[in-house]
Amino acid sequence: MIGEISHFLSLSAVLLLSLVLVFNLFFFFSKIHPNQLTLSMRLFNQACWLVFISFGMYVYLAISDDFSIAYIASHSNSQLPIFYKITSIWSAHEGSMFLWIVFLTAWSILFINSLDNNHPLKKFTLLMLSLIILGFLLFLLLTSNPFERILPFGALEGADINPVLQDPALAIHPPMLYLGYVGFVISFSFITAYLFNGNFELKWEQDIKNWSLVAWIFLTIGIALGSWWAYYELGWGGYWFWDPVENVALMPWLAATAFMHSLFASSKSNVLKTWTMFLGILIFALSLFGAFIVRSGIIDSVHSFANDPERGLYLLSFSGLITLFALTIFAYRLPALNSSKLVVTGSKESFLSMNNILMITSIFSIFLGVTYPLIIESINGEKVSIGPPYYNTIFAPLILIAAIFIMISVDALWQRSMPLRALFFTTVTPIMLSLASIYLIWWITSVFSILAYVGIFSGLLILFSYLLRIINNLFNKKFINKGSAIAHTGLGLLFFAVSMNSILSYEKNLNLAPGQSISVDKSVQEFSFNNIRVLKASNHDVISAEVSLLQDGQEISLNPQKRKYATRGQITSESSIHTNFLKDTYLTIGDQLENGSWTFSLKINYFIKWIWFSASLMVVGMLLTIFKKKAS
Amino acid sequence: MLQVRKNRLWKLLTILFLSAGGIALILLSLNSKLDLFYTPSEMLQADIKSGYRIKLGGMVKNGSIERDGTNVRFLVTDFIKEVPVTFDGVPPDLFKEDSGVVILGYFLDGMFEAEEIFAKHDENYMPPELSIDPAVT
Amino acid sequence: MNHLLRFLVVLLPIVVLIFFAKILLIDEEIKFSNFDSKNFPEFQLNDLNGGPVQLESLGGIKVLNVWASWCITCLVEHPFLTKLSEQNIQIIGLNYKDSNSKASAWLEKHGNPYLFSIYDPRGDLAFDLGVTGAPESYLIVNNQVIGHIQGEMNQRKWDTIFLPLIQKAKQGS
Repeated sequence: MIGEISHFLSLSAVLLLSLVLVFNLFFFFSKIHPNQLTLSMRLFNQACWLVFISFGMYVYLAISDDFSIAYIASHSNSQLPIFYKITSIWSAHEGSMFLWIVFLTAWSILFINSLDNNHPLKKFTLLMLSLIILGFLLFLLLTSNPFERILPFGALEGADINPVLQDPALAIHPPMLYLGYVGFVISFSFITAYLFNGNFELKWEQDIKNWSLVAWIFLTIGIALGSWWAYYELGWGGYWFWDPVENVALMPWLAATAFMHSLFASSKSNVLKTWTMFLGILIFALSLFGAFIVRSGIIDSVHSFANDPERGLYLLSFSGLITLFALTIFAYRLPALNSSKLVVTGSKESFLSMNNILMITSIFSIFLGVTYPLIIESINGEKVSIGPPYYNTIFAPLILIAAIFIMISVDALWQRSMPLRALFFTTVTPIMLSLASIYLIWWITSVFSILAYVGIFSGLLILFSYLLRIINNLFNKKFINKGSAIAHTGLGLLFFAVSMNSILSYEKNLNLAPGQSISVDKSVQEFSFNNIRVLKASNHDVISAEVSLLQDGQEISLNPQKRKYATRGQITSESSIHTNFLKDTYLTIGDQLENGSWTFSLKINYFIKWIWFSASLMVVGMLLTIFKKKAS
Repeated sequence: MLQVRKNRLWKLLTILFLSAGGIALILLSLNSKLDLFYTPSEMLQADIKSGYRIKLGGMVKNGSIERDGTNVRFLVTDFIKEVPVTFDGVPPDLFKEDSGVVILGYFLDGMFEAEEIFAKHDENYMPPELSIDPAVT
Repeated sequence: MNHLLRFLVVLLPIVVLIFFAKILLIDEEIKFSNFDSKNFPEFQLNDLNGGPVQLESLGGIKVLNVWASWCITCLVEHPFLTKLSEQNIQIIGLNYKDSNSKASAWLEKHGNPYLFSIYDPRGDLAFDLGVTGAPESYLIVNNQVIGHIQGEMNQRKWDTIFLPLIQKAKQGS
C-alpha cells in the first residue's frame, strides 16, 4: 500500500513538473497569466515536496522490510541494523538514482526560492531545473523503477547487501558525492539562463558563488571518503586506482576547482568571464557524463553498476541534449561576451587564466584515458586498459606546473604585472629549500623514482611557499588570505604525501602457525602470531587473529579478521591497521593452509595519515573562505 | 609591436607550446602504457613476448587453487582453454573458485606470473559458499 | 578564432555523443553474436523428483533457465517465465547450488513454469556450461547451445537476443 502511494507521489511530481514546463513554454514570449511566475513556482515547489515525501516513504519501506519491492528484497535484509537498511537504498543503481534525484530536487528548491521574484533570470532557471529534474524522474520511473514489485508473493527474506558495502564510510560516500555532483546544476542552469537572457550588464557571480563553494566541499569530502574506504576496506593498502569510476568523479572536481578560481578573477577583476561561464557549464556536464559511464555498463569496471544499454541510451541522450542546449547558447553568445578588459601578463588574473588551461588539460587527459580503451575496442576489437602508469606519467608534469604557478602567483597582484625582482625573491627561497629537502630525502632513503621526485618537489614548493608567507604574516604582519593558504597548503601536502608514499611503502608476505614468531626486517623486529579465535557477531561469524609486533622498539597489537556473512555466505577480510604519524602498519590475514598455518600480508604504508589530513585542510580552507565572505 | 599584441603573441605561443608538448606526452604515454587484455584462449593463440605485462581474464577453475606458504597457484579458464597462474601474497577477498578474475602479470614458460589479482564484484547474485575451516583452538 | 571556438564548443560534444551512442548500440550486438555455439555438455544428473534426465529430452527448441530458491532476481524474472510457458515455449530449469526441498517448496509457492528442473547442487553441469551465477538462461536447439542471456530475462532481452535465434533455427529446419 505504502509502496503504491510512494510510487504515485513520484508520478505526480512528474506530472506537476511537466505542467510547469508546458505552461511556460507555450506562453514563453508573452505573459498570459499575471502571476505566471508565482503559479509556476508553486507547482514546482509542490512537485519537489512530492519527491521528498515519496522518498521518505521509500525509506520507511526499507526500514519496515517490505520485501515485495524487488529492489529492497535484492539489497536489504531483516537482520541488518536499521542504519544499513537505509543505506542499502543507495547501494545499487535504482535506489542510488532515486537519491541523486532527491538531492537534485533539494538543491533546486533551495536555490530557486532564494531568488527574488523580480530577478530576471528566475524564470529561465526555474524551467531548466524543472526540465532536468523531470528528465531524471522519467529515467527513474521508466527504465530503473525502484518501485517494481515481486508478485504475487514477495520474498520472505531479503538478499542482504554485499558485506563489503556494510560500512559507515561507504554508506556516507555516495550521499556526499551526489550532493557535490548535483550541486553544480545550479551554476549550470543559472549561467545558461544568463546567456539566454543576453543582458550582460547583469551581475551573476555573487548569486551562485556560495552555492558552488558548498557543492565543491561535498564533492571533495565524497571523493576523499571513497578513497579512505578503499584504503582500509579493500585490503590492498591502495587508496586510488585510476579506475574509470574514480576518474569520472575526479573530472568534475577539477572543473569545479578551476571554476572557483576563475570565478574569483571574474568577480574581482571582470575578466575571464567567458572561461568561468564555460567551466560552470562543464562541471555539471561532466557529472552527467560520469553518471552515464557508471550506469550504462559501457565500461567494465570493478565497481560499475549492472549492464543495461537501454538505460545507457536514455542517459546519454538526455545528458547530451541538455549539455548541447547549454553549450549552443554559450557558443551563440560568444562574440558578444568578449571582454574589453585585457589580462595583463604576470598578473594574478593571468595565472588564474593559465590555471584554467592546466585544469582543462588535466581533465582532457583523464577523459582520454577513460575513452581510449573504448576507441581501441571499437576499431579493432582489442581489449586494452589504461592504468596508473599512464596517469602517473601524465600528472607528474602537470602537478609540477601547478606547483610552480601556485608558488609564483600567491604574491601576484591584481591587474598588474609582478616586478621581476619581487618574483625572484618570492621563488628563490622555496626552490632552494625544496631542492635541499629532495637531496636530504634521497640521502636518507636511497630510493629514486623520477615521477615520485617530481611529485615530492612540487609538494615541497607549495609547502615552503606558504610556510614563508605564514612566517611573514606572523612576524611582519603581511597580509595572507587564510582560507586560500590553508587549502593550498593542503594541496601541497597531498602531492608530497602521495609521492613519498609511493617510494617508501613496501609489503611482506608471511606464513606462520599460531604461536609462531619471526623477525621481519630492521623495522619490524618481531612478528608474533599469538592466537586465532572464532567469534559470533550479529549477522556474521568471525575468525580473529591476534598478532603482536615489535616495531621500532614499540609494542603494537593487531587483530586482522576474516568474516563470513550469514545470508550470502560471503567471506571478507577486515584488515587491522595501526597508524602513527609517519606510517600505517597494515595487516591482512590470508588463508589457512593444510598444515594449519595461515598466510599474512604485512604492508607498511607511509604518510597515509597526511593524505587524509590534506583533504581536511582543503575543506577547512574552503569553509574559511565561505564564512569570511559572509562576515564581510 | 603594441605591448598588447606582444602579450597576446607570447600567450598564444606559450599555449601552443604547452599544448603540443602535452598532446605528445599524452599520446606517447597512451601507446606505451597500455595493458592488453586476453582470455586464456586468446593469450595461448597470440604470440606474447615474455617481457610484456598483460591482463588475463577468466574464471578460476573449480578445485584448482593450491596453496604453499605464501604462494597461490590456480588455473584460469574460459571453458575452452586454461592457463596455470602463480601468485605470491594474499589474494583479494572476492577471489575464489568458480568466480571471475582478472590478473595482471607476465606469461613466461607456460606459467602466468601474477603481479596483481582483481576479483570481479558482480551485482549478479552469487550462491552461498562454505569454506572457513576454524580448525585451530 | 572566435568562429572556430564556437564551432568546436558545439561540435566536440556532438562527436563524443555519437561515439558513445555507437558503442552502446553495437556493444550488445557484438556480445551476443560472438557466442560460439557448442554441444550441450554431457551430464549425469537427476531432476528435482529424483528421476533420471536424458539428453534426448533436450531436443527441439528449448530454453534452459538457471535458477535457485535463494535467488531474488529469479523471483523478479519468474512472471516472465510463466508468461513464456503459457505461450508454449518449452523451458527446462537448472536448479543451481540449491537444496532439493527448498527448491520444490519454492516451485509450489510461486508456480512452476518448467517442464522439469535438473537438480545440480554442486554446479557440475553449470560449470561445464559456463554459468557465472543465477539467473542465467541458455537457448538450446537440437542439443546445441546457441544463445545465452546473463542476468534477469525480460521481454526486451527475449525479443532482441533469443527470438531472432529461434526464428533463424525454425527457418533452418
